[in-house]
Amino acid sequence: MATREAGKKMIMLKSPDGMEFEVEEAVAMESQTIRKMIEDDCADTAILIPNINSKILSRVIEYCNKHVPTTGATGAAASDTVAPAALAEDLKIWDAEFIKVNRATRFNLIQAASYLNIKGLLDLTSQTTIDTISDNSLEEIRSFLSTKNDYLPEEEQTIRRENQWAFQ
Amino acid sequence: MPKRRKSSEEATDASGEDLISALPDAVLQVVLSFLPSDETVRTCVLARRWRHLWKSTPTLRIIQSEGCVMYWSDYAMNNFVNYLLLLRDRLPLDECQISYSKPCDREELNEMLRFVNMWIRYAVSLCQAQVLKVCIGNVGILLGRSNLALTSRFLRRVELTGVILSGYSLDFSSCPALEDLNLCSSRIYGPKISSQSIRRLSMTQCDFNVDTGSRMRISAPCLVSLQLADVYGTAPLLESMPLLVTAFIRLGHDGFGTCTHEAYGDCDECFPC
Repeated sequence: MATREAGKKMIMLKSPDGMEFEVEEAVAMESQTIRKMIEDDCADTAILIPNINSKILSRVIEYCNKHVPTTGATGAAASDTVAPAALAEDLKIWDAEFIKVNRATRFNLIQAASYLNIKGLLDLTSQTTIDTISDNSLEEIRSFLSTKNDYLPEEEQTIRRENQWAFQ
Repeated sequence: MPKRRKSSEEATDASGEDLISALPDAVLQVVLSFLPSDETVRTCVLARRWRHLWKSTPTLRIIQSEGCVMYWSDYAMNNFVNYLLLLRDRLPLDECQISYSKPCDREELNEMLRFVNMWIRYAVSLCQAQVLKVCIGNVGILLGRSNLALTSRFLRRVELTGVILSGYSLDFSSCPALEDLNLCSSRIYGPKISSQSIRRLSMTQCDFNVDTGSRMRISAPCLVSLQLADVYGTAPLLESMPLLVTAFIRLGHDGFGTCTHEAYGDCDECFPC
């Protein structure tokens, strides 16, 4: 139920495992998916977030809480001005701590960020994944991604030949 | 049938089972888009599912640095990028990044830069890139007088490092969505930098009309934030910026806005002091 608390509009988010999270509307609207629901007036009662369990959803809310832009005294959104270097640095350090999670959690966060359309979180989780595989051999990348090579040897040769310009 | 779930997340992590295959292609492409483009293309041999994913990643990252996984000669790199642009699906780009930080001499750099303007045009004009980042990080060598004329209604952010901008390149009026302009270690020549849309402008370690001594005007009426740090040459004239909230200005060591004529007392000949 949308309620009011200290003048701020609250939104209820529900995970499929039955947990409910009451968050400020501004925080929930860090998710473009939820923003759209709210703007289209589909968010009168609690919003069920499918496929994202309570553990991941609580981490996502934690991220949005930290990243929601604060409104300055002039009424201009803080993102309109260059954030003071210290504030930006603080966020970076916070992000680095936030993303110190195991691989499964990180992939779950990627999925959640993608479904909820939270660009900052999707960028953070993707960049972290790439940092761990970049500059590795294809074999290492394959094993990191737990991807089985399902090409026949001759097929793989054909694809390498087709894209020889990338393997020179 | 749903797959058997392991109770402990750590166990799933240890086996790494199906983690990546659970992600839809569109999400995989976002993850891939953070890799340099050459590494992205090479993922085509990982498995069948990956064969064509590289063709539709939403970024171009052309990166030539010492730390790169593969050594590319300048010729091979140009060859690679030209093939890439020809064979990828011509889908809209979120971002185009071109970065050369490998130390090299002028001749090598010329070979590297032979196609750069064409690639920028591909990304900005044909593929509607929203973010353009170009960094020519070789100390003392700047991207030639390209007269890079950016025309796009999609471009939101431009970051240029180590380039020379002059004349038409400084007129951003054909980019009505441009909000952020970031220039670093660049040489800027011309009468005017203008944009009706930019909100944040940052110029760091840039020279203004350092040879001609004439005064440049900065016309950006929507500017909310301005940063001029360690800038050299002739101090530019800032036109009205009624929306400005924050400004940071730090002068360069060599005297910003001082004029050699002044020292000799022949100010009368000077234009436009």
